[in-house]
Amino acid sequence: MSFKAVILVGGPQKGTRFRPLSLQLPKPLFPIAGVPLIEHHIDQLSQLSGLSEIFLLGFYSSDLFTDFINRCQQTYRVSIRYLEEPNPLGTAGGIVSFKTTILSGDPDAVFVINADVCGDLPIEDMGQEISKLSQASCLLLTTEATRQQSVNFGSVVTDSNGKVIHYVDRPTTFVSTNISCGVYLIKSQVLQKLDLPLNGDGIWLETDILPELAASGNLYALHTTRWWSQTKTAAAVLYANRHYLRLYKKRYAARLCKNGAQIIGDVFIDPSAKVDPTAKIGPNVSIGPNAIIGKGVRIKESIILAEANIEENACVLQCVIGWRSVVGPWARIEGIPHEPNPNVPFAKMENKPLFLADGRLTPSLTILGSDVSVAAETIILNCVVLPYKELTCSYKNQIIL
Amino acid sequence: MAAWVSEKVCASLESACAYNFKSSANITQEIDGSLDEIKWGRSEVKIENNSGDKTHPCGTPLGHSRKLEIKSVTRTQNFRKSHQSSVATCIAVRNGAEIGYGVSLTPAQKPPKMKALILVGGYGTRLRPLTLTQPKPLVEFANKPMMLHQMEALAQVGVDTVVLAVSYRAEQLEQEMAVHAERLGVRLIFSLEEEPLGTAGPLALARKHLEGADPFFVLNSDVICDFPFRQMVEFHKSHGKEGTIAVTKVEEPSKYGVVVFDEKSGEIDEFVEKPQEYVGNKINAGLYIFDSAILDRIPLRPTSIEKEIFPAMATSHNLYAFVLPGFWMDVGQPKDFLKGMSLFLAHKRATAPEELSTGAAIHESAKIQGNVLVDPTASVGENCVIGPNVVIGPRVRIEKGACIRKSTILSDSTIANFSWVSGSIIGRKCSIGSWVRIENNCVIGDDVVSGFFWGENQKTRLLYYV
Repeated sequence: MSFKAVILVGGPQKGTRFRPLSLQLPKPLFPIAGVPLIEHHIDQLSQLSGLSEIFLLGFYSSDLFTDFINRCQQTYRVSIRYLEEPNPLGTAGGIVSFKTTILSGDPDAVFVINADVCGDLPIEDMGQEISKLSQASCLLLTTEATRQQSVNFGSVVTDSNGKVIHYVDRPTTFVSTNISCGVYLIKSQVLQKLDLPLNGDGIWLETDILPELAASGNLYALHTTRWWSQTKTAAAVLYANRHYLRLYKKRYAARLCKNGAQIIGDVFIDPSAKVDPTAKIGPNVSIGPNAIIGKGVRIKESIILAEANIEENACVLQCVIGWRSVVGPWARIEGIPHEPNPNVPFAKMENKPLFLADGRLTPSLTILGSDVSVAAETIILNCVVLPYKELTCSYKNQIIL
Repeated sequence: MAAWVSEKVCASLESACAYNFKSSANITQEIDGSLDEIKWGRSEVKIENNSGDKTHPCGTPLGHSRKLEIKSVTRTQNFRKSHQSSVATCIAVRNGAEIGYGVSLTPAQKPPKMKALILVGGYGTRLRPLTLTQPKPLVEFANKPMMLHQMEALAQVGVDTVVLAVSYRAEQLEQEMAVHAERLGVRLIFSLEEEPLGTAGPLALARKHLEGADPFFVLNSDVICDFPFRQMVEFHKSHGKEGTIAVTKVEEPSKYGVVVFDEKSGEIDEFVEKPQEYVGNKINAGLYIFDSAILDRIPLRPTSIEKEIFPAMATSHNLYAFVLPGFWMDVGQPKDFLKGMSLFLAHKRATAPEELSTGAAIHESAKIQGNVLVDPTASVGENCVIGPNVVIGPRVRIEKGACIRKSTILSDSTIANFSWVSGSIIGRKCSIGSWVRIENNCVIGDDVVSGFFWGENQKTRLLYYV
């Protein structure tokens, strides 16, 4: 079978919960495990034989993606194009508007992937599955969630053959522990038939198309037990970072750093970063291009973005350090770990609001936006710091505007 | 132990150069009349009649030998019963080398010996967890047990009997202080109160030890200062009344009890507890001198010296205030312990900078900033930053890249690589891990092993995880 793929990248008005990390860079390009978020999708899609083209569909200005697309086309040897939506018309609106472009060359089916999901996506399994199901018009990826959390996702009820007999997006009461992963494989003839409503409203996959397909008995589900998560909030990036680093061991073992400093567990260090050999790094750390890591620095469970400078003896735990930020000697930047409850099977990341019901900041990672400087010997605990701040004393549990 | 020996005794010693001997006319006369020859110790010493010559045979004027120390006393004995003098042969040491033998005499007429009572009190809960494994008076302040600072200062002004008023028995305290007392030539008496007696009751309990013609000292055990006891005694004798209270200036008098007194004579008018309006900035410093007469004012039951006894004494014009020169701090709780440490180090810097030793095992790349006291047996690794205001105890190991500010590290602890410690007290035998952050008046008990942690807030006293 022949395939194409569409990655829904959204736009600057979307992904606001990803701030301050999305203030200067489109969220889909935020590097996780050293690689932009959607490059992981492109990488996984490009493994599928029969895939001829990948479209990035969104309402960011197209020039933001030009360099990225050029590089990925070379790396993954697949055609990639950016399709800029003139105005937001729902999750399926863009696909419908550009259906002629997407369906040119007559692919049999088209993958549609939300950019804010991440995981070890079984792309190949989905391709094989749909070729076996001649009656299916769409295959969606599902995974198991807890009863409690399932209502935050699209709930899917299937029969023993994998046929979806009921689909409802974010129900108010419990329907099923099977949830939609936001990854779909849609037959071309289904897309061909779609049209935008004449009244100018948008069209949504989750609320307009999938329930209808389920009702007509043409929607099938492929259940996965592999790692899957969402990256809706900035707090979710470290969890995704950890798992993408783990996945490197399977296919990109060379990307994982083994020496140059005291390395513990899975660590990605960009070759252009300068890391002092006395630094102790890991587990689950990614360090971006041209970052400088000084003597006696300790970094654990963190992402250090490009050109950041961690000066000697500083300690960085559970943090994202923004581009060009400087952390002074003996400073300690520390966040509160945020990950699915390990004691509950199938628990997913909670996309908690920034503040608790009583007005306190939700304990979470510490995030330094770009160009932040932190004075020597201070502690920044559980804070979100916006770009260009100069911190001269210690802060705890604050959003520093 | 002071040694009084005549010039002539020195002059007759073989290889004598300079000795820790004070010239004293009284003793010379006494020797004149009573001694001819002493066969003693390692050498035969002949005592000749005093010529009155004040110059040493080697030409060193007497009184220039104050840095000498008596290394060991080989024997002591009452030489003649009629004079009650004791004689000893000694080895004199200067700059670590034995330079000769000396003879010391304890004069028949001793200078007046004073007594002191130290209010040790209870369990020192405010300094927990340090006081869980060690009685508070033994907790080292600037590498010396807190109480020893007071004991040594008392011994220096001729106090020969110290009563420790305790409310619980601590074998460790009794044993360790007994060793120090013997070294200082002080008789130590433990006075145990069966029930809490407040701040005055212990005086009544120890009455039989304190009574006598001479005035006696009473000290709160938590106080650290320069202990100007000699001036205090002179002041006390000059006004001739029942009691003298040392007072000290504070910035925020509203937190304390303020002593209102005549700035010229020192006579105390009244005490104002936590004044709302400014009445003065001098507070009770917890150091007193009393005549025995005060003992008649104190009943043997729980009594507060500050609230009950002092106001009555002030009313009868019997209480005077002595303004302490220099620094003062009540170091009974962690924040003040560290403040007192800083003041103590600054005082040492001003008066005896050579005592602010920085140890031998400090890596050349380590930076010592400001006033720092490092025990010679402690080691500091490369690229460390130590100070200002840090005390590092015996056998402490600071590994490389650590930064320590305004803290006390007690003996035998280890601070591993790249850790940061500020404003905290680390107990004995602690093992602090790498990249640990400790701050905000943290007090780490003895034998704590830590991984990652930080001082969360002022209320945090003990935080650790292994």
